[in-house]
Amino acid sequence: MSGELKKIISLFLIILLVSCSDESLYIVQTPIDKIKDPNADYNEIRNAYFGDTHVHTKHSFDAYLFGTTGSPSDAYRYARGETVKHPAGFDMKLVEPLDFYMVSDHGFFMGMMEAYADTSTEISNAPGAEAFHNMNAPENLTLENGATRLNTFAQTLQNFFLNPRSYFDPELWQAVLTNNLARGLKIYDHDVHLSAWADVVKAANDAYDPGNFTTFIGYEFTTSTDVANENLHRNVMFKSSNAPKRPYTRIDSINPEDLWTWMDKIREQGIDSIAFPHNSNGSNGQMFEMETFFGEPLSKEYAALRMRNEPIVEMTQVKGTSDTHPLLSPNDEWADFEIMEARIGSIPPAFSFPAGGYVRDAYVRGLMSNQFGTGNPYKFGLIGASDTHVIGAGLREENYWSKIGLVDADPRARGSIPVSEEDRNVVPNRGGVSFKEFEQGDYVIGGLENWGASGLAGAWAEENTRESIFNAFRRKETFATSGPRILVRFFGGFDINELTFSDEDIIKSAYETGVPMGGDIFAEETDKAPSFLVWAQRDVNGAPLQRVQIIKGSISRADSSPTEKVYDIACSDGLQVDPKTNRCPDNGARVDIETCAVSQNVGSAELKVIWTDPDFNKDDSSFYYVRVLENPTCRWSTWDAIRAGFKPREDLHDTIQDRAWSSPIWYTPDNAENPPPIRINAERL
Amino acid sequence: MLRKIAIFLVIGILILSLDLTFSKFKDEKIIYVTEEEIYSLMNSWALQVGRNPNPEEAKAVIDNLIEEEILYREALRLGLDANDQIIKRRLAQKLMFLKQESKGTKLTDLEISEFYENNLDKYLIPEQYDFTHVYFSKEDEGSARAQNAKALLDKSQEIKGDVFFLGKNFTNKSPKELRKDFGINFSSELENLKLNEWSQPIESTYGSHLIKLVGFQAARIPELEEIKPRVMVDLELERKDSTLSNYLNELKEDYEVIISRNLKQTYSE
Repeated sequence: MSGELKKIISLFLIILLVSCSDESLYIVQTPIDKIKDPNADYNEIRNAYFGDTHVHTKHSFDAYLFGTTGSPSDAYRYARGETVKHPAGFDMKLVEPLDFYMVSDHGFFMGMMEAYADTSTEISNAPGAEAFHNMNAPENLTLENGATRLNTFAQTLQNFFLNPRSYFDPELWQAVLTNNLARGLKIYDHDVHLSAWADVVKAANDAYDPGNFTTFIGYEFTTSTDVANENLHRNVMFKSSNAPKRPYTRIDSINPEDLWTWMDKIREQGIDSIAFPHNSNGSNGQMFEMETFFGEPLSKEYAALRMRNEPIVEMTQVKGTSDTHPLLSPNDEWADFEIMEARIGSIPPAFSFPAGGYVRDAYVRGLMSNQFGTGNPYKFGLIGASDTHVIGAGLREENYWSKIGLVDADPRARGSIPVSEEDRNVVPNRGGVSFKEFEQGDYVIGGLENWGASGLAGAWAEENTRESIFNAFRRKETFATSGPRILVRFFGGFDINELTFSDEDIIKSAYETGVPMGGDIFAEETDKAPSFLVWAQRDVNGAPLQRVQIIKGSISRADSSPTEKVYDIACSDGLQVDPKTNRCPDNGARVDIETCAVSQNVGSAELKVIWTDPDFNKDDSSFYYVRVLENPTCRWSTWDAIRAGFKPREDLHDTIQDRAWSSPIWYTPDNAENPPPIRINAERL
Repeated sequence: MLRKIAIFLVIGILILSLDLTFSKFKDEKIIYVTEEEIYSLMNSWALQVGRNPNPEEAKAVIDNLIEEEILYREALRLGLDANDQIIKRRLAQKLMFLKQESKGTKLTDLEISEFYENNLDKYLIPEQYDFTHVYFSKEDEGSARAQNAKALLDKSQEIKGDVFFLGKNFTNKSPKELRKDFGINFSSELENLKLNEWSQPIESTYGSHLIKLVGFQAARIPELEEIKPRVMVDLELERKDSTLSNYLNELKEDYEVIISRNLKQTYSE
């Protein structure tokens, strides 16, 4: 009996030990007592701050492979306006420093690649690691070397990364006991991993300068479906200076729902965090699916779990923009913008199914789910970010270096100018890269030509502190741009149309009478249509504005059929919207493709309007978001071409209309007397 | 002299023979297995396997420990630890962690003011402008309206402009911020303005502005008392980083570093 009891007690103790020793749930206390700069702004009607929350450094396994040796501290120096080096040797510097920045290295295998390359580490002796020895020594940082790297990587990947340890290896037991599968892999060194993560945390805390420059501790949860490896990547951003001892990664689980549950658990310990998915465009429709990860029907609980943890989506970045796809929005003339339709990581590129992969479509799906009685899991705000893998992004078309270091530093490698037969050694040598003959010669095709100089996150916050900017993300009072610092204010409500632009306190009044971007408006007794205040201002270093639009989507209460409409609501140069077509007349802005010169004195420095929905139906759930378009300018591929003495490649857009998108404002008809009709999804039965 | 040498030798031989005698009893060849060691070994065994070891298994565990210790000592005796990169790294890492964690002492006023004096450029506040403005949007013939408004102002009449996106009153604006908010040449136009007088129209990216400068602070370094808390935080941060390097520097003084001559020649530029 007592033996039995002993057994039970020891079993209990073991379970206790196991659950206690999960380092992803152990919070390392690193309090910082920084003083906010007394000269810095505090603005009760909020300032717009710009930042990049998607930045990889040498600690990311792929970034190191692309030749990146810059550390998280170097990344923060770049964000503050200092000059740093690209792996290919040239200088990188921002035209305007950023207000906030987050290093977001891949969680899994964080720090490992540098340890394989450093031949003095224990793990560099692991079988297979010799392929990476001294990889980023100065003599190896050449374009030719970069071109062969992806190939090395692809060949080594299979038989290198996923080798489990033997049963007799104590590390395997540690893996089980500490609930950390990664430790069970032969080429994984836990100390290296922990010290890389500690470096990420320390760099963020050291670089934080409250009032002037905000940093966030963060990382990327780089997961995908197990069926066809469909992209489900998201970044995790922590609010405080404390962080878990190790990040929760795709080795712990490939299911994003498990990530959210983990975030819930550490939130209970006082560490708030939010995650934002990216590259939904390359998810083959999986990012905003109408079912859970395991194919279960959506539910209110799922919607609540997702929205609690993922109130934001990164909708534009170097690997394309996920506003909408021309196939999804055939009546939107501006839908064909930086479309990247390859599945992330597919070699050779496989087509990514658009439905379920773009935010506008996701908003419609969310309304639909809500109408089915299963809550709205897709009621998120928008940001842009770069996803640079070289610690800093070049977000300007005329100064673009793509994002994967040595692999795409050369215009020939990214397909913007032709490659001669003898120069093929600078082109990525991997499966999926092929050549296509155009008028001026053979070009690389394979995806890099469809990447772009995007994006940036804007946040409306009272002051430049972690707390204030994080809260803006939580409120969804954020906007996205494809690179330029376009400013956009957006308010909605039933009495917004009573405001006037001659009132000095119009913004204060707008906060009092309506809701800002990311907010909700609810059905009122009257039949009055909601009205919206939109005010956009150009970037002093960008192009003038051409037009401001409202994109509206709604669901019919009667039969759940969706409608989508794009309204021009303000035109540049004093032009008026044609009420029949809802379009601005051509403002005449043109680009000279031979020099990239643009029309002078065309376009507006600011556009502002109060707009009332002319097609409002009180019964239909709807969302509204703003899109601001700049005048056209040369796309990066055109700049590459004319600098090298070529014409732009024929199958690429030679110009681009950079733009900004606000987070939506949602209109909900439901209230206590008028609940949403519950429908059964016939397809699922 | 000879006597001195003889005494020296006698004492020397005495010490040597004592050492040789006692070295046989030295713990070099003795392995102590303490109770704590056994206890912790059994515990981790139980943790991994899920039950307590039976006597046979316990013996195996202890034998393992003993064998490991013997092999370790023999390896040390043979000098296998010397010049092994892995062992060096490990030991260095261990010490590094220990040193970084050790707590710093309280900061004295002298240290704070010294740090402040040595980092004055870090606390430099660039020149700052406080101003209010009347804005005339480019979208609505701003330049002409600004001219008219200035004429009215000169006759002390009321004027009205447009609402500016970023507001009406600005305080503590540095040239860098002005460049970002108004455009490239804006701050240089402000340099020549007189306090509390309306300016001629000044062009920004967005239109024309009549500006009344209400305050100007030249670039300055704040007094220590103003920013003492910030200086203390900075000093503490620096302390943390320098604990390790100080420790290293102290140790470096005890070492003589000799670098292979060939290597020196290769890198001597």
